[in-house]
Amino acid sequence: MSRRLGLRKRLALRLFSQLYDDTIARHRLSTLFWECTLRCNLACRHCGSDCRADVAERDMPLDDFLHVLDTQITPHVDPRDTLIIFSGGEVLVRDDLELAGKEVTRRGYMWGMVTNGLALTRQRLASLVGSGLRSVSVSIDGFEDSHTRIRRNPQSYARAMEAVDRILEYPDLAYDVITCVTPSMVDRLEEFKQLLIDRGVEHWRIFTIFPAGRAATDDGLLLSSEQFVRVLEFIRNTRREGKIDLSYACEGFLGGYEAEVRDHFYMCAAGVSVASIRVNGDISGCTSVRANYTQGNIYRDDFWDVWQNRFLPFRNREWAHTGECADCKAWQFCRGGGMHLRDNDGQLMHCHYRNIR
Amino acid sequence: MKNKLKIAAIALLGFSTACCATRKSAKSGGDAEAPVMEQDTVEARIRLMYGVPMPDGNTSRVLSDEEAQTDRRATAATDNAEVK
Repeated sequence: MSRRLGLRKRLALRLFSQLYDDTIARHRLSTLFWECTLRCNLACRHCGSDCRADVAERDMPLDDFLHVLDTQITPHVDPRDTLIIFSGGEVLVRDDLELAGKEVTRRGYMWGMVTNGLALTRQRLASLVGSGLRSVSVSIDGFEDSHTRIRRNPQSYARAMEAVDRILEYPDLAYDVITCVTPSMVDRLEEFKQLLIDRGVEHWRIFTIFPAGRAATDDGLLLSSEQFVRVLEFIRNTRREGKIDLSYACEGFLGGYEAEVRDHFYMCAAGVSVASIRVNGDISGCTSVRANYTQGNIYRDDFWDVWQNRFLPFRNREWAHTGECADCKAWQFCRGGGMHLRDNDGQLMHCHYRNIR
Repeated sequence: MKNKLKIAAIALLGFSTACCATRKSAKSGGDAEAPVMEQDTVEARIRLMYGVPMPDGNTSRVLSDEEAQTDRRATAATDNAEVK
């Protein structure tokens, strides 16, 4: 039974927990999100950013980001070992994305982006690869009906599939397809897996909805506990089968499924090795954290000072050891779940571990 | 217990890939013409929720002069025409 933690895995998790403590103590910055825009060419039902075409927040000027990078980050990190992820909104709405890519590449950083694929034409992709793009993830939320129900644009599925075909033409480009699994897709995952394999896709990542952003008020997006377990079983079986590299996203401790549905044991890297610079200059953990855990702002604070000396709520999670977490036997491995699963009051919005027990 | 011992113990328990990853990267100060590779063990890269896969080789690509000087605006005009 995968739901329960066996002795061998429990021992390994206990050792990993000590390694995690050491990782926190070092908090080496390895991934930096730059939320360069909140504009988007779609208005997806599940969006955690609540982004849309006519956002009030203007894009962050590239020069502002590069100034922080040059004066407050590059002197303290090895750019060759630091990944910058351009994030949105939909990053392709920015006309200066290639310039941004060239500038960070020129400084020695690797960069990647997540896109819905709608505007990833052949020319645009060639232009981005020519600007140093090293990794790209495309969102395809299942078959056309499921995808369109979420993405709310009749062209979005075909364009995303075409984008994947184009990406596959670049063998040196790291990529994966990201699928947000909703109830309508649970029974069709096997079929969809075969579609991806037939298309030549080798890397696939699945995540499930947590109640934030627009999804917080849309019950039709959330999986039941039974459906969630079936998704995890599907991932575990697919990984054993070995025909496609499939992982569950980083969120949430998964008990007996640990190390069976992902390459690694669970840990929340937000504020530990991952930081983000938001479109308004706010400094936080990863961009999935939508509640107010802002630690500073690049227009007021020194980024490196914030990274080194703040981020306490991310690095010491004792504050979360309350409520349903207080008596949980998995606390030492889970530490209250991903930071993105906490609301503004620190309350846990969703517990993956509870869902599989 | 030192970290390397802990990693070894985790590996003995059958979970070697769950806590670390092997990295290949260009050695600092290496000759660009003949890059020397160094290999070591690093903490696992978490595949983040809205993140992207780690590029192979873990090294930044050097743009050619031509690529570095390409005017993006000309390309943007072509792209916009295709999208419409």
